[in-house]
Amino acid sequence: MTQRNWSLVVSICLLLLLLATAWQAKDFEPLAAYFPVVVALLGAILAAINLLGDWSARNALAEPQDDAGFARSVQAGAVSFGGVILYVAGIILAGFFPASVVFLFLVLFLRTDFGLLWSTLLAIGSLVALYYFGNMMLIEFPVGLLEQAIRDAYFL
Amino acid sequence: MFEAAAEALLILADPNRLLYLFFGVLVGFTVGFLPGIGGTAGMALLLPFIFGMDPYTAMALLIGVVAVNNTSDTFTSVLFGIPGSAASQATILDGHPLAQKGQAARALSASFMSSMMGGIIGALVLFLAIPIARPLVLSFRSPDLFMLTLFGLSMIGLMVGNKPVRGVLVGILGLLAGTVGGAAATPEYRFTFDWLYLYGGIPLSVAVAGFFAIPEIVTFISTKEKIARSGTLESGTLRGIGDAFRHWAVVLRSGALGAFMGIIPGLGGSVVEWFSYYITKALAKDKSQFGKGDIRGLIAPESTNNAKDGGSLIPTLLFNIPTNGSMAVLLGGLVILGVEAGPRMVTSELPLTLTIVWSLALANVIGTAMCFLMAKPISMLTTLNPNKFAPFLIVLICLGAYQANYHWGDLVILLVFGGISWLLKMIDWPRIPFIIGFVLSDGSERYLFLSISRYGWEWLSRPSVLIIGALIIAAIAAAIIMNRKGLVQSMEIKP
Repeated sequence: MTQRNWSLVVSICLLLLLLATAWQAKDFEPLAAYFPVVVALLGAILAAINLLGDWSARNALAEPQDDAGFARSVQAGAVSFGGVILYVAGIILAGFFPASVVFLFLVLFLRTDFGLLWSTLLAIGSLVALYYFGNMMLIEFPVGLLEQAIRDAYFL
Repeated sequence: MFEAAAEALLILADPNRLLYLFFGVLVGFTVGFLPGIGGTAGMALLLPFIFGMDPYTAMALLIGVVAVNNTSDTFTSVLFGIPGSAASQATILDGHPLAQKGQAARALSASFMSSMMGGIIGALVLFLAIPIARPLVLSFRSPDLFMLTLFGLSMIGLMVGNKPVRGVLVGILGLLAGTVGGAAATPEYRFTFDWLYLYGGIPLSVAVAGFFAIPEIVTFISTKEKIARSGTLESGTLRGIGDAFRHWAVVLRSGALGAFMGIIPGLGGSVVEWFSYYITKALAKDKSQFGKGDIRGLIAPESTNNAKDGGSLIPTLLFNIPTNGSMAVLLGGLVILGVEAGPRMVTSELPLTLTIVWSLALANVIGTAMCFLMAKPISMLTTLNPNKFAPFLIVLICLGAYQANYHWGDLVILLVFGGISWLLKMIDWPRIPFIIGFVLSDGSERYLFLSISRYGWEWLSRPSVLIIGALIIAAIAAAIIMNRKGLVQSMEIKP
């Protein structure tokens, strides 16, 4: 899909989202409703204007676009973002430290010229440093569901 | 005023605060020399960690990032001809030719020195502006404050370049995201979808980190391209320092220009820098070397872009009007700390305001010293594959986001906002307006409610309201004219 088409899809989604927001906001108490209703309706009008602009730009096709380049960067970005989603899912499930070790190791090992040993050492070493730094700064580390279950089972 | 300034200096002199200031400078320094990240993302990275800090320490940390970012972005501009940020484009024009002539060390040291002087001029202008603006700020009532939030929102038009409708639309999304949770005027919870986590609203620090840090780092991970191919540095440091002192008039003029232009919202570092460059060129007797490696062409924009920060802080702190992305995040930082920008910044929060002034001046000095010390290793670092540092930033962002509520919802919100922002970045939509809308959402709703409940509709006829209303119309008109003439530089973070 081209950048223009993506933009068009986003414009349509925004219009629907803003209309849905205004619709939901009208059921709030009057004092809580006026602000989101007015803002969402104003946004819906602007989204409609933007959609019209995007639609005419799509039909006009005034300038050629590097569709292949855009598709490549979207694909690469989506894969990387997918990796971040998996990492966050890993934090929620397994906990911060196990998920971070795996994430750091995989990115360093697969995306850089660090070998197996250096990737492992850097991943573990940086997290050990972060653990001590976090304890010093009283930073709370996310506890995963599995981690919590193990702690509960062993009364930790 | 001077007593308060001395008191603020004592507050900042606490070793713990100085350590945080140093850490902020270190982060600002790092994100400055990595093209594509920028000060806004750097501040977004640190914002979640300010929870629980006292405002003086937190502001020292954040100001440290802002102050030095424009100094360290010179590395790639001078050495490789790649702008470290939008505000360092004019630096390339004479900085890179100097490096090509084998005078990279001279160019860098002249640039660091003039940046530091510019930064101090900016801090001085901020200090002098406080007593002048104080009586004006103290006379504001809720209708005026509501109009000022509208004025802040109208700045979006000036900030989004040739896409004003999309900019305002994204700003409106920010306003609506700010309404999630408890209503300002009545005990009702809005858009919570029965998820307890959302009853307290969306945490600003998570929204900012998601919106600015995640997309930039995802872009970094997506590529294996190095920032630069080689990093070499010759001698000539002392000559460069001497250049900055020899052209003191250029430094002074450009610094003052930067500080005053920084007050004008939406101009952006790039416009201010180019303006300073052309003024210096116009006033120079011998213009022949400009663009080919004239040291004045480097000193002028560098003094300007650091001085601009002091100027930008005036409307941000005193009038609640963020003039650029970094200022919007800084304003968000104040919200997190429970400090309200506006009249209180010159009364009960005056020590904090003055601590910010001192932090700005000191951060410029520390940042400059750091730039001198790290010049050689940094020039080598820019040849690294981004995948060697980007995953560590992701780990830090996730840990930082979790500090908002210690709830997995923080991580989910981070991903949702990161995903939306990444999509907007891919389709080239402006993103800064979202944070402006988000930060000003609560204030605009609350002040409107207070204005109507106290004054009825009569508040609309108050002279101050009419004056600010006229300013809003002028700002919108200026946005339209400047957009047509192509004068407005988009504040988007672009690699």
